[in-house]
Amino acid sequence: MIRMFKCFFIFLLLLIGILVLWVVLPVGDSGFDVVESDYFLNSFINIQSENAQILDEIVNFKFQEEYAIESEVARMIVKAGGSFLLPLYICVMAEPKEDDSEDFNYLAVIKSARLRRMIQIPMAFYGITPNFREDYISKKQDGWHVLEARDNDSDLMSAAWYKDTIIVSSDKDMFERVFKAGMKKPEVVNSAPDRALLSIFINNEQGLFEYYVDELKDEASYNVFRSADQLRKINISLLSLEQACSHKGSMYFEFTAGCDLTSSKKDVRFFMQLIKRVMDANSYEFKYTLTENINLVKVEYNLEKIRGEN
Amino acid sequence: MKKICLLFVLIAGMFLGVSNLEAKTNEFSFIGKDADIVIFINNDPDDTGFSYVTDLWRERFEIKETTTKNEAINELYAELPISTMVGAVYLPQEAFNSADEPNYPDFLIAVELKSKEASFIEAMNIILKKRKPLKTVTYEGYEIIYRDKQLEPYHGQKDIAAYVQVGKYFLMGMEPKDLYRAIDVYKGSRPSFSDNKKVLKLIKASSDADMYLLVNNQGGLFSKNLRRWEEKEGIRVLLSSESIDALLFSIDLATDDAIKGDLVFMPKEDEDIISIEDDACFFEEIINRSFVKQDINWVSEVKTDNDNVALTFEGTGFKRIWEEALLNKRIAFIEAERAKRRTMEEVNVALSPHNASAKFIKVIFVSVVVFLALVAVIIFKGRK
Repeated sequence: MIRMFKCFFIFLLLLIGILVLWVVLPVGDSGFDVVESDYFLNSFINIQSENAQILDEIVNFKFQEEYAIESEVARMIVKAGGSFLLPLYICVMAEPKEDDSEDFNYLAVIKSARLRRMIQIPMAFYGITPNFREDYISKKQDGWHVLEARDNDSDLMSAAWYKDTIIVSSDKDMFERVFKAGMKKPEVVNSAPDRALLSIFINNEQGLFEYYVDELKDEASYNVFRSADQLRKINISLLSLEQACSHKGSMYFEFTAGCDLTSSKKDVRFFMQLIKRVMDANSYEFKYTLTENINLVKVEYNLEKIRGEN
Repeated sequence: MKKICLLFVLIAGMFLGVSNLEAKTNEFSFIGKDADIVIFINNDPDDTGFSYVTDLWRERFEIKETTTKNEAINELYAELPISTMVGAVYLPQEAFNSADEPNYPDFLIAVELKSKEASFIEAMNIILKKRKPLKTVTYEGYEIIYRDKQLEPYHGQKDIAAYVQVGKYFLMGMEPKDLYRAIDVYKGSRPSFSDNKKVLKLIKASSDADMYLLVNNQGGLFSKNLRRWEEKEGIRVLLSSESIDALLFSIDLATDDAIKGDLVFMPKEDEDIISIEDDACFFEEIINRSFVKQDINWVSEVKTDNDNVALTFEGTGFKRIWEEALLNKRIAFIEAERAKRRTMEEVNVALSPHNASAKFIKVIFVSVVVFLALVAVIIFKGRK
């Protein structure tokens, strides 16, 4: 009995060893590059191995109790898990559904060799089940493995993966558009493009930002951005500096031509004050300069950790 | 004869001394120098705005159920003196304990009684009393009545549970120790808040208001407590809190619809003014952006005057807010309670003895009890 148990234990260890080896095996670059679109939200996170420190900053960041990771163990797990997946590139796009602005269609592009390998294991098992065949059509397209949902109400309508890249989307059209625009032949791309650590692009051409500001106005009786109806675009980017816990970046607020820039500047300044106060509570010094040009308010900022953990 | 004369002089001296002490007594006489926040409320029934709000507040209790406690609260409101009511807050040294639970501050309320002391005290006794009878303790010759919170099931409560009458003043605190401190200040064995001359300048400089909230940060305890709360919430409200000696928030309910007020910051050093102005401008923006749904019209201004930074504001359109905040929510709550009670009554009707299914349930219940009793009797007989 003990011998059998030993054999089983050795087999289990061997299996785990093989799986770990499988996960850490290098995977080539798919060459897929996300082209910026005009969707309501485009956000990009690009963490290279040398920027692993940012994970420590993210897990320790606090804003109200519900958005903070209180447990030390949970923080360690998130940090270790995140570091394991590096280099990591995530792009999330969102666009409201045509008849319901409360509900969004999404598309996510994830580039991480290890995450890709990890997902491959359960997907291999799921692929052989009858449920999978009932739910999805699987096909190959230029080397990419593409999945399409049979049911039009599925949360995951389309998915594709190739080498280190996974693309998932809740909308077929969105998927088609981004997939076709970003797909390149692997040999064309030599190295990963130099991107900001974090960049967020909000497109208010359809007035969605204004809609959410109005929602807050109704619920909390508070007007957080008075000139939301004149706002066209917001572009926020964050770069990491060589010095630990030091960042710099910029924010662009583009308003409609002929807007009341004095009022718009007040909104941007108030927004900066809110950020400054949130950052200060997290022991960061947020210094910014605000400049204006016709219908554009530009903010350049520096973010630096000034105090250690309490 | 000499001894009698000496005794007479001593008694006269003591009497004069006590009279003199009472004559000098004012709202600060019970508040220690180390109080971190002091609140003043001028209860003036001729003030249109103030009366409108306090009347709405009273109506909350009138529409409540008729219970002895609610009647006592009503009585207390009716007997509230036309004078300044003062509250003092003594902040804890640490805002949170080792289990990360908030440490509550100590409170003291001082009210000058003009008449009807007996009915005021009677109402207080009804409000204070819970399950156990109230206790009495004497300190420096004053009789303190209090509820022993340790004897109550939820003894962690931080409510008013002790009072004492000192001359024409009526003092209330959360525990007798809050009143010991107040009596010590009154007797002169502890320094009084009146000694904070610099901070008190702010009140003198401020225009007439119905309510004042004065924060004394000379010892830095306010900024220390605030800082911990801000870190917990993940946002700094007052970036310059360490650079402030005192802060005065005064508000005047000018009419039933209009308010005006100031928020005055007293900097520790002149060079702190710039960072304080930054905070004042932030507060100004917060005020201007709030109550948009209620259609409030705000006019505000930040200015530096006499080395202090002041944010002055005026707003109209508040009548609806007072009604919503003080009355409508109360009415909605009572209606929900009544609906709940109606549902309970319906359940009771369903289980009434005349109901057939209720009879069936009752028969089964009685049968089970009888069966269990029989089993018990058999077991015990078997043991014998």
